[in-house]
Amino acid sequence: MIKSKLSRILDLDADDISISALKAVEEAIKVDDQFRASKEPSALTLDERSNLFLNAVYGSRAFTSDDYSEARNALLDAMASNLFKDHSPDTGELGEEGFAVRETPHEAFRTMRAAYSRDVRPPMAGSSMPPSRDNSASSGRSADVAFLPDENAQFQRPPMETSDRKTNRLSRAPRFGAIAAILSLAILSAAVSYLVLNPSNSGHSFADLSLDRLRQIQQKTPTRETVQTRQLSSIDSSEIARRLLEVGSRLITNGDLYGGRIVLAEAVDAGSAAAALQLGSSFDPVEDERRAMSQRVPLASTPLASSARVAAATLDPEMARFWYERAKQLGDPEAQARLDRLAGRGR
Amino acid sequence: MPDLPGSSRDTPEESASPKNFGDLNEARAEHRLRVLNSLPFRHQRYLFQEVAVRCSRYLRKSGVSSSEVSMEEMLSEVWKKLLSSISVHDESAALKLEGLSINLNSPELDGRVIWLIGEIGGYEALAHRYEDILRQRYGRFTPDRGRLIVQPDDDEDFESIGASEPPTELDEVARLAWFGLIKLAEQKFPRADDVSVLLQLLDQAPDLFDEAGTGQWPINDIVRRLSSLFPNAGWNVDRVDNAKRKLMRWIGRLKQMNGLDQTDFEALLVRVAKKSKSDSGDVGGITKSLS
Repeated sequence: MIKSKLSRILDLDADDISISALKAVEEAIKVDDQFRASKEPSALTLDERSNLFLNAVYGSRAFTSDDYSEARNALLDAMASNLFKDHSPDTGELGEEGFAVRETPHEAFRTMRAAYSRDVRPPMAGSSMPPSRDNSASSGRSADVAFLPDENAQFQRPPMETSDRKTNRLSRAPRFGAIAAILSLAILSAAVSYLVLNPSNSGHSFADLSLDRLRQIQQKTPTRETVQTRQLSSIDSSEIARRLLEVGSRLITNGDLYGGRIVLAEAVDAGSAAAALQLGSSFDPVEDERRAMSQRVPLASTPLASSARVAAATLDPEMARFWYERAKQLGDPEAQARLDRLAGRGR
Repeated sequence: MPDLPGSSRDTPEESASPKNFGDLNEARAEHRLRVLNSLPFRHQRYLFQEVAVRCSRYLRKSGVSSSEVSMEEMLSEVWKKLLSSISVHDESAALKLEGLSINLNSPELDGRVIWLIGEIGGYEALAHRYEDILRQRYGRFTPDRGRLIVQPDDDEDFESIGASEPPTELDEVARLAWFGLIKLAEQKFPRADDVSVLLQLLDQAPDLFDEAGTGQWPINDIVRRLSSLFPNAGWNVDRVDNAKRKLMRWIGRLKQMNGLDQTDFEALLVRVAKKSKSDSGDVGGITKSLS
């Protein structure tokens, strides 16, 4: 009964709406089109919101229908909280900027509550979970399908917190893992080389080696991947730092400030003092002003100087100081002067 | 940074009533969403990265370990806040895009991106999102009591008591959606409004539509019932029809302004009902909370 009443009221496209109601809806849509046109861009659909949410939190990659479903649920929950602002004081969400959320009177429809009580039927066990929704059913779906209750308790935890996603996007764990793997392979191959090239140390000569011993050595012989890794590791770290510095500078010059900073940070890790200086410069408001001046007098000596000015929002004296300190530690002679200039501005 | 109407916390709106705060905040939230939607993909990507960097920096500077609040949680909260903004007032979007400079080539120079970064990635905004996370877990902090643990929304034991004739899931969902609609209407329409009265009648007479059979709203039946309930109120077909159209227009606009289709909207209503239930402190299910 309630379902039919609901569908009658909510489904504006239903055939059973009277002609006058249809006209009213058309009118409303017309007004709404004008409203949208005056405030472009238009409202985001829930699918679009979910897509943005996933991309914002987890980066650009392919997402499964489960991911979308979770995102939709999380957003719908938050939207419901925004819509229904009659919070209890202990569980309420902060207002937009931390202001108290405005109270709304809710004396109305008290009688409806009483009316509801006449139709009391306890809900099914397990139906307390908010409804989930499978994104795969988004096309041609019915509300009935969408409202099957969740069977897990993931509503109590933040969205998308499954164990395989807990890896911090900005974490360097994968890099450390790779370094650890390279180091262990290098140690292993060094040990094998030592064993093979200095058989006397092991108390055996090649002639003395048994078949088992040979098999052991064969198993420990570096694979093609190990050899390649060795070749890579033989590249001078300063050369890597130089190349990273080059790439990072080029990125920043071309306007990719974020990407450039990441690559420069890698260069700093590889020991480049110049990269640290340049990274600090990308955050430095003093240097930003100097770059503005240098754009009028094109005597740019650094890649940053010839690039567009850094957006004010991305300047950060504290970060600049941090990277200048790092440059100083790595032995850059210019770093101290930059630090002084920065400190002078602070005063 | 481009200045928007009402973008400063020193504006006269600050001294306005809490209601104005709410309206202003809603308008700003809606505006953020519109600005985000207006950005090209490259700019959005830059914004995502920049906000991630700021979240990471905030957590690091605040000494929050990843075991306490992970980067994903923080980012999720920030974006959920922005992307869940909802339009309820027709005239709320008073802020427009004119104040923001647009640079399609460089996201870091685009006024829209800079404004959004300032809005959602500033220290204060991130501090609020961090507090939101803590509140969701532990409740609001009070100086004398600390944080109260929020009771998990697990009513299973209570719900099973006295479940003589369990309804189907769909019935329950419809019931919740209906209750959610009423709660929303409660916020929108005054008690004496015709829409409120109409909804009240529909709620009290669940068989009204069934008796009407297939086809249109039982306007005449509604008029008859309302006239018997309120003999001197002057209910007639036009008045009921107007109330019905007003109700449907409100629902239609709510759906359209927030990009919600029928299914999304019903799912939202269910959540509103559940939130209403949890806020009222009831543990016995929606039907018990209404008794």
